[in-house]
Amino acid sequence: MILESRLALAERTTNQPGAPTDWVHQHYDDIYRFLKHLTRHTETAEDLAQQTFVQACQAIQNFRGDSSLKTWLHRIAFREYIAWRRKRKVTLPLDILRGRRDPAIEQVDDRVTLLGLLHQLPSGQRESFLMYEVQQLSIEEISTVTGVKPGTIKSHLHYARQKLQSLLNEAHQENPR
Amino acid sequence: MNIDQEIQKLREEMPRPEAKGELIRTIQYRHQEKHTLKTIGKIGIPVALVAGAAMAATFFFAPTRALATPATVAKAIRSARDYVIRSFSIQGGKRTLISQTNVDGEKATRTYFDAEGKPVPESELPNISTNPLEGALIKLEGDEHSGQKHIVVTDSNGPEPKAGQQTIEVKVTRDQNGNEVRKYVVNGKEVDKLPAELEGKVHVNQSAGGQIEVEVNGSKEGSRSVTRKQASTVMVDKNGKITSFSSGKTTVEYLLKLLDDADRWNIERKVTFNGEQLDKFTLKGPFSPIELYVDPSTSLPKVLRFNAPMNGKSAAQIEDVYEYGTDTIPAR
Repeated sequence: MILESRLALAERTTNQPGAPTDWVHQHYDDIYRFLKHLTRHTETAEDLAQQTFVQACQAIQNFRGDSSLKTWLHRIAFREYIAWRRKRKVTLPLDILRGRRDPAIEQVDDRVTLLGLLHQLPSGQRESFLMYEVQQLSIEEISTVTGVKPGTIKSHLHYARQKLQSLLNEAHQENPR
Repeated sequence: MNIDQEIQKLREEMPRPEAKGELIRTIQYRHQEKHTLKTIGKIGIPVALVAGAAMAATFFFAPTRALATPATVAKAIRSARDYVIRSFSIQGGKRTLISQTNVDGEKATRTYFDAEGKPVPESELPNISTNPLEGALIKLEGDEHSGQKHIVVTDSNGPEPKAGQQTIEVKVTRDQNGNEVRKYVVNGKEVDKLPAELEGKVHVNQSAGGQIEVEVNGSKEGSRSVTRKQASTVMVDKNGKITSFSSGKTTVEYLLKLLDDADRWNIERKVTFNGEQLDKFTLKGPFSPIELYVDPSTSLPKVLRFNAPMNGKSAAQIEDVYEYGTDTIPAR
């Protein structure tokens, strides 16, 4: 992006009090939805979404305009999610885990849902699927958000679809209704 | 299951209607005021103080014609019957109404307003009682710090800004029985129990485990902005009892407690404020987070202003304006 454009962007986003709130109006739903599907926890998704926008406001000077604002915000949100995921990791004996549900995860539906199945997939596949299918980001944009090569993302999507279908078939066999 | 239909459902999932407004308020507050605080929790409304200010403002028992003092103001507050308090945020010279509290005798009704100025009934606000109160009881001091999750809180024991900072990390694990085990990292040292001096002042509710880093700007203005909701930060009294913003009475007690200590206050007489000659009460010290403007003839609070200090100067304000009904006019 040429210097003038960057300056204009900086001015637009930092000097006009309404600009950051415009981001919220335009992108909050997307970012919240993204984080909600990743975390499956409403409060956490709201927390992380808030941090995403607050960080975006603070880091606007670093926004080079190489990607769209939507992609940039997704990138920040994804980093927030990764940080959250690392921090909430706990190590438990398997016999404790068996039959228990992490109380930090609310509203986990026992019924067979797409989101439930997605969370049985490896994280890379799940994240790629959510970004591509739900958030409707392109392969290149997902690559920008995650830092993963486009070829790998295509592979994730392929295997995600394959495994989802397999899981669906299993679920139907267990519960034909 | 039709995958395409399920995907469409996921695409259509929406956040709480209030969430966007709360975030906008936070961003506006930070952006316009270039506030030094890193985050303002999730709420946006300085509820607890608003309530306290409200009660403080209205109750008013006609004091004598003697000069207004902390004692006469406290008496007026305790005696007030009906009033309306409108709470405004003042940012960059712009005043925004954020809540209105109508008090009639013992009954207080408060309405919040969203970023667009639309009223949000209290019944639609998340009920704090539904949140499990599983956080650490801690007393927090300091100016600011950065981290994954910020909750701006303040020491409920007094409004004066305090030096230094305190970062509390709450680590949540589970024992072999699946019971939650909490450990606290205070000043870099992991402890099983919070030091006694950190207990009983501020309740920080942790929603999903992990780390909480708390930033305190000893200013009451900051704490006002943080009173509720998911990342619930609520003020509690010495016994750990939550100061419910539904009643606000505990916050009144908070203000009354300040007034009860007359030595803490500076008083300037006949200060011109909004065209009126009022008595200005401030707390002693290099910076007073509170400015209380009192009608000298009645000792009734007229305006209670909360200032957020920034480099020793006022940076942001919450202003509670009181209007009294006829029942509050003191019989003199």
